[in-house]
Amino acid sequence: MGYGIQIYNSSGRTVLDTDRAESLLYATSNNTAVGNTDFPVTGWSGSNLIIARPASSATGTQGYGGFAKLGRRLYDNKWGRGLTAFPNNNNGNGGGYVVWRELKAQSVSSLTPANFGMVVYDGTGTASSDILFSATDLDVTAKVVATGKFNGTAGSNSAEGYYQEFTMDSSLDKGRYYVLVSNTASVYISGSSPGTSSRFNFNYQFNYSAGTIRMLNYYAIGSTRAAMSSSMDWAILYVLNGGSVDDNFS
Amino acid sequence: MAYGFEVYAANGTKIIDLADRVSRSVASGTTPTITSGSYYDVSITDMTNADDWAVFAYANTPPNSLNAKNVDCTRNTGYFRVSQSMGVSSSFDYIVIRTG
Repeated sequence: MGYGIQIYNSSGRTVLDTDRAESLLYATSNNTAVGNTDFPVTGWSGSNLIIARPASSATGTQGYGGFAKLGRRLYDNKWGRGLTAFPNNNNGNGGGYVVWRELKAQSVSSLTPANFGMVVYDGTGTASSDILFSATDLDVTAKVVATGKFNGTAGSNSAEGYYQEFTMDSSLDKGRYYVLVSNTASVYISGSSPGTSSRFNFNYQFNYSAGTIRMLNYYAIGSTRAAMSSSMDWAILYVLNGGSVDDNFS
Repeated sequence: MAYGFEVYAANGTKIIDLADRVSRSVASGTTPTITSGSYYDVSITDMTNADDWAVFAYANTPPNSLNAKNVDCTRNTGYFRVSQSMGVSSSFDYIVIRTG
């Protein structure tokens, strides 16, 4: 490049590059939700990038081993995992909920940068829509800690199903781990007789006790599970400076 | 420090560190309606199948049936492809991010 700025992290990944019209994503508004309510909230007009985690108390009785399934029920655009939406009173220790945040590009946030700190524009002007990075407008950030596809092979054809498993860093606050839920999906179809109901899961399962997050990819009829392989992406993020919303385990 | 940069919030908390993998917005939008058994390609400059790209796509009018699982989104050089065989037609919202 002839001018501008490029910044790389210690692994060689790009942090900022003025040759690319890619604006930094940061964590903005946060809220809570319960199962069977609109995703992410009724009347939402924000971005489509929603990250979420279960409440820290979500270790109730539903799901394999009491783990908390988290995702989006697509057909009616609500929080849920098929038949029994997560969370509800059965899987939140008597009152579970989801904590969610919006990820938003700085270029679409109508920012008015301060007259100090570093601001990087895309080279087309200095309007708020031209901002690639504005340091003073950053407060809460979300760094990517893992990405992949819903195509795990761990697990079995019994209750746990099939998955990939991510282990949280035990030195970090487990309440700051979020997953990207915008493209998760689950469906539950009641069978004509007991043991014939069917469902599939492309969603997440948190286990705060074990410090793990599973990316689920299985289809089930009755109590039998079969692995599904999808090319859909998943992502796990770690929120920094989220304050009391996320400081549940520290 | 030899590379990278650090950013601190006003309260002194470090919010970008030297090793952090930040994410950036590349594109978002809605595909035209895709009929069952078909696909639609979205051109994205510089896109590859490497792990520093991610595409999050979801149907706007999926069926309330197990067929809703029959959706794929594959990253390729210069574009990504949304294909579906849900048994119904649907457009798809998508978001493209880059982390490297």
